[in-house]
Amino acid sequence: MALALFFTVKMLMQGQALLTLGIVVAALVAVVLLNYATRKWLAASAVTLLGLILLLVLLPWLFGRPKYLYSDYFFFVLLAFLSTSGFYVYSKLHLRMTWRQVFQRKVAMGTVVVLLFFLVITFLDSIHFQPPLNTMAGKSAAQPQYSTQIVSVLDRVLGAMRDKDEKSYSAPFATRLYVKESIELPGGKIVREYPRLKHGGRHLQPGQSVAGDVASKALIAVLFGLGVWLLLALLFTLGRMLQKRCALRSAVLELFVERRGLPWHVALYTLLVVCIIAALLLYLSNFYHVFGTDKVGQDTLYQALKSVRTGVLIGTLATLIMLPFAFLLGVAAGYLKGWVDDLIQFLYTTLSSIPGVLLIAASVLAMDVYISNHESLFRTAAERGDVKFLALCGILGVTGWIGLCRLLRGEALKIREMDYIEAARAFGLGHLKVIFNHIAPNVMHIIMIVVVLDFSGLVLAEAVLSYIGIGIDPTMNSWGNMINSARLEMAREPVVWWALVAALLFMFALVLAANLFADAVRDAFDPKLRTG
Amino acid sequence: MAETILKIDNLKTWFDTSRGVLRAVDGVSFDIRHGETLALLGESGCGKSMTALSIMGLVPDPPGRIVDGSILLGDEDLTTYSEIEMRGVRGNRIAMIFQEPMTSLNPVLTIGEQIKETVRKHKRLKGPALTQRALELLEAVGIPDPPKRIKEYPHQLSGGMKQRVMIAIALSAEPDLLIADEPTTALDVTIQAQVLRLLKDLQKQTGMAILLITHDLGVVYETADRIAVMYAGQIVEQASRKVFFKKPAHPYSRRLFHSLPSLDKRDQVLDTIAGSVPPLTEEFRGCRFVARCDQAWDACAEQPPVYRRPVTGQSVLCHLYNKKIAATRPDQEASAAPAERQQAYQAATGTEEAGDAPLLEVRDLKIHFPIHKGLLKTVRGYVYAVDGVEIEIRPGKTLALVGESGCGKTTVGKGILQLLRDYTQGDIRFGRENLNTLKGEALRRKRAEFQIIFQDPFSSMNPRMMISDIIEEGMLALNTGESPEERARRIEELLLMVGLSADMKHRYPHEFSGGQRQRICIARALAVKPKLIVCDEPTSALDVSVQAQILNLLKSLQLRLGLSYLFITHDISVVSYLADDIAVMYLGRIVEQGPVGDVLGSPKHPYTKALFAAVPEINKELIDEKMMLKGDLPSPIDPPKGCHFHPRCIEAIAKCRELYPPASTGRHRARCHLYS
Repeated sequence: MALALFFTVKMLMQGQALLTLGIVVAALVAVVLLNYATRKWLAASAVTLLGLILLLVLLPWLFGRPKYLYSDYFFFVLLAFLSTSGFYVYSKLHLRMTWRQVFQRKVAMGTVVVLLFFLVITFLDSIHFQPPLNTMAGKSAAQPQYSTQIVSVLDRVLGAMRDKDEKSYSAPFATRLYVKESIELPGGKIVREYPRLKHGGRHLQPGQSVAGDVASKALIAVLFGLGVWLLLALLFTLGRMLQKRCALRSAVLELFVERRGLPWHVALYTLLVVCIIAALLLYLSNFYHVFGTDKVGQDTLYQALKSVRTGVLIGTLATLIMLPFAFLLGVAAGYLKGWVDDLIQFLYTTLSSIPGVLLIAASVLAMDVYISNHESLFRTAAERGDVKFLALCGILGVTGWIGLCRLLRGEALKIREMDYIEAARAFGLGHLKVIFNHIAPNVMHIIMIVVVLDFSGLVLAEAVLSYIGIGIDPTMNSWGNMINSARLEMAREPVVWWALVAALLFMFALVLAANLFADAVRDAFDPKLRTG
Repeated sequence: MAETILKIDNLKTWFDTSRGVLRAVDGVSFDIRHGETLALLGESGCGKSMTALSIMGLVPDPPGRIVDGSILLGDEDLTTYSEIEMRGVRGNRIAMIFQEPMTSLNPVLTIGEQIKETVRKHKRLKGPALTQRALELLEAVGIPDPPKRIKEYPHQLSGGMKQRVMIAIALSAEPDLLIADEPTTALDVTIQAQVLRLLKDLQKQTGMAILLITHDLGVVYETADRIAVMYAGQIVEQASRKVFFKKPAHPYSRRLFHSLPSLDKRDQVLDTIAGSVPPLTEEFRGCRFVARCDQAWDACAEQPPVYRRPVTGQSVLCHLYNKKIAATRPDQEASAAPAERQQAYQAATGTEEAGDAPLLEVRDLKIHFPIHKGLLKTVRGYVYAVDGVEIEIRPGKTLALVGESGCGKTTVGKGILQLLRDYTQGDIRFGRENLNTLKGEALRRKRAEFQIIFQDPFSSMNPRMMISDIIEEGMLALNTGESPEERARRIEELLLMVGLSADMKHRYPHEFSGGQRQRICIARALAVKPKLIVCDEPTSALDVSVQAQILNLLKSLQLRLGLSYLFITHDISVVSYLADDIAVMYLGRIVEQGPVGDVLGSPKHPYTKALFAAVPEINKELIDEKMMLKGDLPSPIDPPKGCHFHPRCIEAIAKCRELYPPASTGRHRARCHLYS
């Protein structure tokens, strides 16, 4: 609380009156909701939202001046939506039981940890700010100057990778460049050889072997990862003990060994693997380029990690944009029938007869023209890239609602004939109320299944679109762009393979986790697959 | 004595479920002889169908498995047969027909192809001989004009026709045994009578044995030679028809008889069987019926009963007939309940008033659904679902609307409830207002006074809503003006009123049985304090014992709250128990109406007579061949000229083909030229 007050005062001093007002309003809303909301889930999500907003407003001030991009806002709305629906699901017994079925599968437990890991990276990469300029440091604290560059918290965490640019290609764990250069020896003689890297393996003594050094450093990293995991596991166990009011022994048994209930042990062991891999990558990247560098000497691992946000966002934002179309149009068509149905069917049959790629290419080009005509609106490269990215999400969403819309129309056609709809109408309920009280909860499982299944499809679609050059702005990191540039690298001799491999590895991890999770969700939600 | 075709000994079919082993069939033994019909009688979930599937070798494995016992067909044990060997038995020596003829036929093949398929497999016929055989079969099951019908698709046939086709397919290989799993449950009484008669005739011709699975005592009385009553995976009583209907021995069988509604029980509370069938995952120690039995004593809970034979040709699984154990039974006279019951409704029936102004008065109600065709969706004719119906319901009384399915009785109900406003014409006077001209807010407020209860207890509640939300919905929608606390109190009150406990309100519909769900639906309707409830076949999806509970509940609510019911049904025994007035509907019009006693006692209209004659009833003479209705209900798109009923009427005269008959006058009136 004191911290919040401190920041509020600080911000007031810095002329961020609007932000301050926002915080105060949010706090008031939360207090009102907490006191007067009859529904617990609403109150709980309000508090969570307030926490999220506070965090988002305050955290960047530790590093500089907050400067959020449009896609960030979308992502935070999505997070808010996720947490709210999480609380809602927990409050409704039948929903909670179905989700419990999802998590009773070991695969689901494992993949959810991996997905959460990707979500955390995205979250860190979505908190953007402008760092203060050091040149003015000595002058005046009251009027700090900020850089025009927009960086994220993730960039701060990965500082080691971000700043250590080389000159050109270098292989993973290399100490020398991958291309020959003319080097002037002290004697004035000029030789062509692979020059020593500026950062990678800098600390090595002459003659010291890379393998041995990496092995010893990897050991330290693994131990560190283990330590972090132990800490997390301890926190988790303690939380469980408090929640269940049980002894340490039974909590440990339940979480690490117990077969009954939810397979927590799978989650914990997956977390262990994730911790160790993260520690390895983070620690080793202080000394080496773990996945090499690209043509202009940027760390490939850094690029792959920055691409996580693009991948996750495109998978979720396109869905977020598509959902209202699909739900409202589909249910309206199925429930109201008649001319509404005819109109909506006409709309989607027309839309689906236009090739999607054509629409996407057209809209991306239109966005390009718009940006070049309104340069003043988008000052930084990051902002320009962001707007183009959002446009892509939008057009993927607009073209993507047809399939779900058809499914929902069919389901609504079926549900409208159920007796409980008749009963509701006998009570004089209006159409909107019938749709939201009776039809929506009964089609939710279809929406759930389609959304998680679509996610991985969209991640892959981004890669394909970027590859054919109508996807993300080239200045923005994405796996598609990495693969696109790898096209040339694969053709050169000797082959530069690491960029492609890095992009594929990360994409594979995300898509596989999403697909496996989608399977578990479908098994639990699809009544046709449910047995007994 | 004829030779035994099938002998089942100690059959046990168990299922592995997440809640443990489910003993669906647990030690069933019976045999069927040549030319005999054995009826397997029981409530839903007692293992009847599983017994049939076990005989056919169609138990889904896993999770199901036959753990013990033998199924002897002739002298071969079917339980030892492999899947390939079973294929030679299925359809060939044992054939089966199912409850739902709509889903048993493949919709994309003509019925001819489907019959030929089985004939080809089992009889190895080809070409013209094959077609000839298919035509013979269709002829044999009484389908008119087989050469034309053989090229038709299932959707072109009515339900009764489809069931006939199913029987034709089953008969194609001349099986020794026909298993009929509720063959007539989905059909109308008139069609049911035809199908049952057909089965009986075919049995006489071919001498096959029939295993008839049913829950309907009337059907059993009309068709069975012997009866086996199943309860919780066991056969509790086995007897010949004569013995069983004269003196049922097992307490369960007796209670089944008591719970049947009928005219002479009108003034009584129906006898019900408390509770429900115990979950078959349970380990049973004593008798399985002990918790619901009114004659149980300590021994029943402690040791399992064994079969005893009180009379020849009867075998009962009950301690009452085991002299040694029955001796331990403490002396107690049969409870005085019947006498009390007798009085329960006496007061009510005494207050017969004739001069009451009707609560609901329907005049010339027409509901015509337009048929849209062509590119521009122009109207090309109408479905005359309801075509000039006139009924009235007095306050606190029950009007029963009876008729075959498709005659428009449900449409009348929905029309009165203002759910089909776009298509409804005519006067629906409710109290002083005409519902058909009411609009907007006025109609919405009026909606509180008439509510509906549906047939299917499973689709009538939103599975994603809690019971309290379901009941509260109407109060909120109609804004009956209570505070949240009052509403919560009222929900509890309603749950108690319909015989549930108040702590059930936080549960979801799937946690309840069919009967309990129907109670909740009643509570939902009562929540807005209606004066009239349209009951759309509320008991036809329920078992007999549960049906009795719901009927009792409806009757007592009527007495307490002065409700009027419009009771839509095809079940004449329910009508005779519950209704005050009766209206018989045929093809969108009322053909006969009047006080229930008059109409049931001396039906006038030939259709009414035929309808009543078709109802299988205990202790009734078997149906007269002449009275049996021929054919199906005509289409309401193009009703026959003149009297709608004349093509099926045995008393039709020349005038009937020309002119729709006017209504006769008086309280008991019929629309028939014979009476005008």
